[in-house]
Amino acid sequence: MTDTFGATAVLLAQAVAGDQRAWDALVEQHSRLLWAVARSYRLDQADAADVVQTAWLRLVEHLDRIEDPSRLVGWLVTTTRRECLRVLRRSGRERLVPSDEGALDVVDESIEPLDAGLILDERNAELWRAFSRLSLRCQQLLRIAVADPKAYDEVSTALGMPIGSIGPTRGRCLARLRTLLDGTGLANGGDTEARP
Amino acid sequence: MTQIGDEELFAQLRTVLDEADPMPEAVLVSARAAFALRSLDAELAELVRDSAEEERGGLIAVRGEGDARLISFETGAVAVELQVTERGLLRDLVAQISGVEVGSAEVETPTSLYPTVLEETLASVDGVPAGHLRIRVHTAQGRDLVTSWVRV
Repeated sequence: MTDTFGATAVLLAQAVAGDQRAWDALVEQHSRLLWAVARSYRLDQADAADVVQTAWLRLVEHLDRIEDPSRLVGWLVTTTRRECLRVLRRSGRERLVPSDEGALDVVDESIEPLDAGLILDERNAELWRAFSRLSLRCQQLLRIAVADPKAYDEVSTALGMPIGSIGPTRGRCLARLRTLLDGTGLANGGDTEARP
Repeated sequence: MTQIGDEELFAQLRTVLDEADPMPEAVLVSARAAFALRSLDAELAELVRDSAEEERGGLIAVRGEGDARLISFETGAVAVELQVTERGLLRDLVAQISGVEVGSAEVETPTSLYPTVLEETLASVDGVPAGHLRIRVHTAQGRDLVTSWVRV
């Protein structure tokens, strides 16, 4: 874990010194995580792209003033989150923001599934459907875990989740996903089963 | 379905997310290009207020000319009050710059620079495309200021 953060801090220092390739490496390493964060707030592709770009523009503005280079990923995620909340607020969709108490939200069946590309493999389609039926918070946690497993703790903190609940919550979301995959979970809604 | 390990489930999820929700390449291209927009010699005027953040969805009536968004930036004694009016995919801008004597001002997008018409403390330009922009101010004393980027 230290290596990853160390590499990021080194790249940042090189970018501060004017190295475009170091900047490119930062962008390539972390953009997918920021994209995952934006999409996990249910932003559409255009808004998500704008939000990610805003985060990188913000970093360029503050390049000389990043206080803790080893926590750059958290800084980028916090910035991305702030922009996501702005977008949601402006369009009146703030209710879709995952709960800040760290509790798993209810599933909102009325939310459109993410605009998805064509998934040919039936097994993957099944996994995608099960994933889409997780609460927004679980979707967010698992997207982060997939996008940047090494920075999971830092990213979760940046998204406002209390430290104590991080591990078990991710585990619970994964368990929930398994349940949905196994088909022993919710069939058609109307469930009274306790949330994990 | 037989129980699969966490590692494998994550791997499958990664594959599915890459297929179902890939990040467009254009995002990487724009992000790389952002580095060229670094302004080493310019002082940054940070965003301090944005009417779009406020309760009623962020539009205020401006003298019957239609709704406008007001964005405020500050650095030290210098303040830039930017009024943005939407006109389809374009934006009409009026920036009031106070606390410094202005030589010239421009509106900068990631790809272009738009000169403004300067009348005392007001710098204006019409028809800038919607998207990211900032105001660049050259003071009469030769100082350079930029506001932080905003998306309008």
